[in-house]
Amino acid sequence: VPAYASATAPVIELVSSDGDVHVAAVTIDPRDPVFAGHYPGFPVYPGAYMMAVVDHTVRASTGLDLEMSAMRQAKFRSPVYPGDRVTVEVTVRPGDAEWAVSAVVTGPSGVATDMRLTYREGTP
Amino acid sequence: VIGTADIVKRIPHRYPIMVLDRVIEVNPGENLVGLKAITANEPCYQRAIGQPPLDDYRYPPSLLLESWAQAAVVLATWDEPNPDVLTGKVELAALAKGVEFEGRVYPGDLVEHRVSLVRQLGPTSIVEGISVVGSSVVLRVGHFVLAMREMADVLAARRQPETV
Repeated sequence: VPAYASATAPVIELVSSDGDVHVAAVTIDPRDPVFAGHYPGFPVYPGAYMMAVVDHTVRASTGLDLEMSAMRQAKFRSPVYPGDRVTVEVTVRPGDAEWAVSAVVTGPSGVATDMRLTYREGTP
Repeated sequence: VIGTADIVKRIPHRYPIMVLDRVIEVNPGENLVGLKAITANEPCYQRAIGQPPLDDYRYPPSLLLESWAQAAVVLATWDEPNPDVLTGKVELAALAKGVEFEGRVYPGDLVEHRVSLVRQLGPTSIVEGISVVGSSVVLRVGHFVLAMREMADVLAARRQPETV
């Protein structure tokens, strides 16, 4: 899979893959430099980084060169904090022109984010 | 024109996730135009020693949306700027719908964010808009909800014991 720039490069542990459903676990590194700026005195994981974690999971679990083309919907339900252990479950369904992805990120206090995304084949 | 030094007086985001450079137009309560210049020296392009080079330098869609959202926060909090979350409030993204990443953005691009305020109900703001590079639309945001929350509430929620 080609390497692209990402908001963050978290260490993703692939836990399981069953058909279209892939599960990964990620520990949000308290030393991630982003916490200095988001926010000073109150570190909380940015929603954009959550998108990146989901994106890493989609690409790592499928091994495909996929590129996010749309976010149909994303709900940010509860904050994720430094050191939190989160589980990322993605369902990746191939289509003719685009791939449909749904993702649920669960943290210590329940569902942190759920997203419905669209991907396209990413080679420029 | 609102420069970077003025933006940090309005929103709490700081390096390395302060991804809005300038505001060139604002009609409070209505709309705003912001600028973000992409360079090859962005933190997202950093590679560890020994890591192979990137295959492509497209700017991550997540950061493009974050940049647009920061322009949205400037507009939503125009009358009550919130540069420091420790003073009592924090703006959190609550919901996004209909976000389309239509074009790739690369170092050297100057991204113009156009944000419109659709509705404001107390602490909740609904915004929409696009981002363009030159004459090309690179991002469409159909519906984006920002929620200004009291820090005390956020902290109280965090302290709740985990339920099994």
